[in-house]
Amino acid sequence: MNIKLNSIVTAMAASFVILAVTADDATARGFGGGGGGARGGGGGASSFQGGGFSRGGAAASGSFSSGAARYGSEGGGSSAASVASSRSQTAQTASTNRAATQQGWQSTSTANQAQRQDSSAENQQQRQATSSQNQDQRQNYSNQNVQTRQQTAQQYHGTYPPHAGYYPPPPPAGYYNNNNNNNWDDGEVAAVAVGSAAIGAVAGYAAGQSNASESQSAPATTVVYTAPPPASGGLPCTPNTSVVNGVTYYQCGTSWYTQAYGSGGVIYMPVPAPY
Amino acid sequence: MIKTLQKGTRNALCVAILATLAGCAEHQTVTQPDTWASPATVPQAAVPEPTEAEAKDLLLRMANYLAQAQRFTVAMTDNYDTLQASGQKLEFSEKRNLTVSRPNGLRVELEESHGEKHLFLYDGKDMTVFNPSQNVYAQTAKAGGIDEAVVYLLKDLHMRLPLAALLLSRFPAEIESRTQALDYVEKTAIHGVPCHHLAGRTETVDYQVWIQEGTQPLPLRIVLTYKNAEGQPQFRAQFFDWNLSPIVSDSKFVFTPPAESRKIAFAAQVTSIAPAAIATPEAIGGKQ
Repeated sequence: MNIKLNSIVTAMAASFVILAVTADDATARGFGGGGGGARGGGGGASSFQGGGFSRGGAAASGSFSSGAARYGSEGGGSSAASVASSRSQTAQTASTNRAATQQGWQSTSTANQAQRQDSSAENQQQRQATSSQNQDQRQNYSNQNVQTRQQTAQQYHGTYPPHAGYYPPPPPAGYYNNNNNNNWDDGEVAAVAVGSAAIGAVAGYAAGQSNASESQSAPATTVVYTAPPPASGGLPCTPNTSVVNGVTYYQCGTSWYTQAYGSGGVIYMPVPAPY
Repeated sequence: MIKTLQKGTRNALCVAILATLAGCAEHQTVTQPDTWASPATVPQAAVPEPTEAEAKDLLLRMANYLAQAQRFTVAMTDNYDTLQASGQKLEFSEKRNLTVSRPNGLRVELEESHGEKHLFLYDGKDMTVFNPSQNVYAQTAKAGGIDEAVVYLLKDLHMRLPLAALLLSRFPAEIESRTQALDYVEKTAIHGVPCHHLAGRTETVDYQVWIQEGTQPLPLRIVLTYKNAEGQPQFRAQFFDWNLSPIVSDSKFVFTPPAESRKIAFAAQVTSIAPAAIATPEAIGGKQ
């Protein structure tokens, strides 16, 4: 009897240990159920041949500044109007706080600390106040964006370039006309999916000189195919290939593409028919 | 019987507790970042830690040291968070070898975690990005030196070059103008190298930097937190093998197209080259 009871207790204890370890491992590995395994749809990209994970986003830039907030605060299409309004106010407040803090950073340490504490408290209140509003607005914005994207996708094959208002919203006028060159590195890396043949969306901009105002021309939003090893692997068909003025074009039906080097690597970009 | 049962229970529970503790200890070992200092290498906090003004001085010493270095090579590994459409946050990593020779030479060799490689070259006249696996390259003329080229690369060509600001000769002014607050976190060590841990805040990015203590105030690690971006993703970089007196020839920065390589455009330039390409077709190929 004693032996039996001891065996049971020992077995229970051993089970507890095993369960504790395996549960921990399972959590660590993401096998805890419910969550993981959502493949595809990299960064808003729709899967074309199974898709992959997005390598893009704010952190991929590795920059000391980010345009993540500025896009929202400075406009970017009619669908972003409500968000822009709200974030603009936040930006103004932040700017005021920033000025105070900046001044503080250049003065004494004690004064700095006091200012930061004030600034921090104010910011926290403002963040809490705007957070719920922003969440509602983001949801609206998101729904509107989905509709816009669907419309744009439908219209894309008929017209080029696609209409403005596509995701991500284009930068506002003057966005790149920053004479003091601050935040020159705040571009977010386009969400191009890992692996071949995923359709993503990035904004294509006309290139220009750093200080040239022409570079503010309205960006053409494009659909981009990540480059596969073989030329045809990332395109929706086995293309006809043309070389025009030294540039290789790939034709799928009425759509034309060319390869280009983007922030995420070599990609296929839709272009107007070369002839 | 009760006595025996209690003894047996006690033994079993002891086994369980010891095993659990062993598991916990093992788990801690696994999750502890290997970059942190071991207790033996952490400098003792016998002296008062630097003030904020001294933190600023440390930061600018580092920035000036880099900006004034005429040549250097360094290896960098980084990893960064990406927020997927599903809401899941994933981490990707990459390795870089950087060679800087002011004012005109810049070479960046990149290998991404999925094996894709890229080479960036700037020789004072042209900047080139080459993808060896597809044997294609994009090239554009840009005079003016590294500062101009790097800004053009990011601002106009929308290419990616993490921590590009560190390469600029005006890095001290860049970091100073962007920093709104700076704190000295602690004196610590990375891989046994004593360093200062600073934490700064810009308008859009919170950053941490670990600066080597002593006469060579080099950055050993940098962490960027994108506080305004959804999910507050981070970029984390570690620097290895700093060499401030490398022997580099100018040819290291000049691109010679490999055989059969094909020139393509920068994506940012496609919208401007496409209309120009509407011309008489030189050749029309068949299906590949």
